Amino acid sequence: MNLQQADYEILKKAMPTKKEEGWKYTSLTEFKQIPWQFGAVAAEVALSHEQMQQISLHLPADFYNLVFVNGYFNQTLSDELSNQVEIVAIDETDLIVSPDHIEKNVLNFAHACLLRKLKISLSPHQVFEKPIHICYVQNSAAPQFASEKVDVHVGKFAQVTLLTQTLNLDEQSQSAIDLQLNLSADEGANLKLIQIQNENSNSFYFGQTEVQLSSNVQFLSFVMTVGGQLVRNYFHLKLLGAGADAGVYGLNAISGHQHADHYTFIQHVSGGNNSRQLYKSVLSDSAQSVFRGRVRIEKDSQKANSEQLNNNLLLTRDAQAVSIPQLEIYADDVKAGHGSTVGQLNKEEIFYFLSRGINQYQAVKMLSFGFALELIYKFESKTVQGWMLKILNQKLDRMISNA
Amino acid sequence: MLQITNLHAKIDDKEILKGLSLRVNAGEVHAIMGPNGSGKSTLSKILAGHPSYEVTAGEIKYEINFQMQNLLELEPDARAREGIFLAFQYPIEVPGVSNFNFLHESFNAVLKHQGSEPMPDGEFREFLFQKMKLVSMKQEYLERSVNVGFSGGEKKRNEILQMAVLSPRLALLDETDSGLDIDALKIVAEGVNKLRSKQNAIVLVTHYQRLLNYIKPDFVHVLANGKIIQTGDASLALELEKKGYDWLM
Repeated sequence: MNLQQADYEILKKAMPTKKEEGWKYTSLTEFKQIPWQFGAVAAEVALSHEQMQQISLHLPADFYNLVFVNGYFNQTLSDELSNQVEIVAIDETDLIVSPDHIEKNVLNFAHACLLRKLKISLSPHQVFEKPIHICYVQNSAAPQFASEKVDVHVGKFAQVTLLTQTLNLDEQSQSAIDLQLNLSADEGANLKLIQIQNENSNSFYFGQTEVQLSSNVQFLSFVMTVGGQLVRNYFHLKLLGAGADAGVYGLNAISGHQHADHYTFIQHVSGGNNSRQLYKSVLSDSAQSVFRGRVRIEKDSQKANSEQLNNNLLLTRDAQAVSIPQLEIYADDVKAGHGSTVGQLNKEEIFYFLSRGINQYQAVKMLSFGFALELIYKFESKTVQGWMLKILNQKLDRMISNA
Repeated sequence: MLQITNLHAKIDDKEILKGLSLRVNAGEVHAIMGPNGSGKSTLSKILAGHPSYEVTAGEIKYEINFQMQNLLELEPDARAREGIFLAFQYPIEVPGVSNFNFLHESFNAVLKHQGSEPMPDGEFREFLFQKMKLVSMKQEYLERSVNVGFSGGEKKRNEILQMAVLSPRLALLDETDSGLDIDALKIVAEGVNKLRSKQNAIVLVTHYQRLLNYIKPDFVHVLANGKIIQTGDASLALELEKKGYDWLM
């Protein structure tokens, strides 16, 4: 972990290229040219009063908030840690990377500066009332790379909502973060996961989410990408038991030169369970989205149901959406469907808005918002809905005033 | 209030209006009737500024701030904010946008144009409830997506609700009566009659005389082959009902 500069350059060079099938549409060339620094200096971990206030705007009082600034836990802004929520040093097992992992070279790079992780454990039947909100703030003059890991174990019939958000304190600085999330849920648990990339448009985000569901687990996942210059999200879900039900959702609302790449891998290991995927993109300027939806139904997973849909809304001519469904089915008695669409806003719809005095920008904004809304409504909690709607609204306000 | 002179217009290189002239004053109700394909709907869409139609000759003047101004220079949303309202023949379904938000945004856009502050949520809701009574609409329709899953009659009533909320100076009703049963027709007509005033004008585009039993027009025009070929009072509509259009052509 105390890496020499030379080792670090080697690891950076080994990061994926577009020659790899799984990385065909996403280039790390620019990322590799940036002299990333590992580990913040003390001055950058300390925050001014104004910065504290700025961050606290992102911390709803209804949430259990945990704030990390440049990789360090900020006690002042965070709620208290407990037996359920602790920060622990990483050990050897945290650094094991399977040689056939599609993100192995990203992980190897990220591991070079991974020091500690957050550990969340819910005992059987425990209900965590407040959503746990983990907020990663990057704040550095020099380009900084942070590596984060969260391990979550949800005991039998326990319930929790987990939110992650990545942020910068200004629009100019350049940062990168790798966020590894390992979640496992025991029988009958109810787990909701929302991940929001809300950093500035100079920054990079790598996410690897690994989820394992036992029987009868209710799981809901939502990734919302509004920020970042380049976002790469790898999401791997294993359905290990019968009766498990997973809704896996995603939304990109991106503009300028933003690029968001979502690689999902849904693996039905045992049968009698359901997965539903819906990923949507609203793209303006020359933004690009990539969705690769891999579904693998193993030999022993009879009576598995899997649906996948990817809908893309292009607001400009230069925006681009790539959609790649990839189904691997080894059981014979299953239902598996997929579909994708790429389209523009309907001209008659826009005229309807105009004919009611609503201007073009506002019309496009309301229609885009309407397109995305169903994803946010998958979550029943009004607090959580309101939090997401605010972030989406702010982004659409920014991206559709100059569209 | 509205002066159309020698209007020629086309869509996809097909000429639809071929020298139409029409004058509408404040306080008047005009009915425009005519056979299929005569250009009735085209006229109302051009007045509202639909981008698919192109005006090739003639002019449309509309009174703004006590001056007759060139309507064709205004964008569709600006026309709406100046008090022109088109009730669509086929109201558009808008998934994901609630009726409430749509109406509120629209209402506030007009308020803003008039130099007023936007009306807050709660106050607007109360205002809407009053207007909804006019068209016998249940409050639950406010939370539903605009026109999504509405029956034909509900869509038309929703158009009249929008009209009641915006209280336009010039309302264009494009075959609002088509597809309505008699009860819905009465509700729609009642909504329109409530809007009638000395300050406002209404142009009804319709196929059938039926609507005119409930909304009494001051003038009835027959539009055929892109021109107005006959103008009369309400009795002309009854005559058309009996004789059809052929005797005029």
